[in-house]
Amino acid sequence: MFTFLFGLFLKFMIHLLFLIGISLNIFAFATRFVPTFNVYKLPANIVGCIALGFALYLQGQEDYKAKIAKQTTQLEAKLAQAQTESKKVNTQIETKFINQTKVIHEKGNDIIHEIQVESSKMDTDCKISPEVIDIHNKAALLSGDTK
Amino acid sequence: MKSLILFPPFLLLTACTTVVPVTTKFPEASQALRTACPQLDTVKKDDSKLSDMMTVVTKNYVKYHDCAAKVDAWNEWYKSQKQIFENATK
Repeated sequence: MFTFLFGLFLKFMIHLLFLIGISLNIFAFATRFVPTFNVYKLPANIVGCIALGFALYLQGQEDYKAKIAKQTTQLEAKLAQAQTESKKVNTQIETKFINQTKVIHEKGNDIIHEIQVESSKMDTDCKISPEVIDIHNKAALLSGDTK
Repeated sequence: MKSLILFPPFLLLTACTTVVPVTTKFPEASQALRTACPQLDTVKKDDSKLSDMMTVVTKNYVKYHDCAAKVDAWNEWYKSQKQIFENATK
């Protein structure tokens, strides 16, 4: 409410200043025809120009602020929509990943079960030497660390 | 003296300086994706049976596929978030 009233007051002041500027310039022009007021020509002209310039400055600033406020509202709305969309996509990706992980673990467990079923057959036919285990472990512990 | 003519338009243009008060938040990724890939299992030296080794190898494959799914999910996340960001700031 206060902002609205202040805005209204500012608009009124800008228009008043504009009107004063124009009036003073007209008055300065009119002094040509009325020699009595000729002494006020220069001050009226200077004050009129300053008032006009200041009114234009304030009007420009108000218009620019209004334009920026409109753009800000539009951008905020777009960003809010983007955030909602982002959360939706996040949930989709998370669900897909969790499902994939579940399937991978289930299939892995099935294979481990299969190995246990076939273990007696496997273990009698093939013996693993400690060197093979060493090589396997070396490969399993590979890392990109330079330390 | 002539350059003073440029001063009033410059002064008038200073009215057009406003900071746009819009801030964007970096999108949060799912907690499930933010865990590091695990270390691979090793075979115990006393377990010289093929079945034990095969079990360890299978567990490691599971870990690999798990981690690969995570990387794919991150790539998909990045691609979709980039698309959303670009559409919002067009």
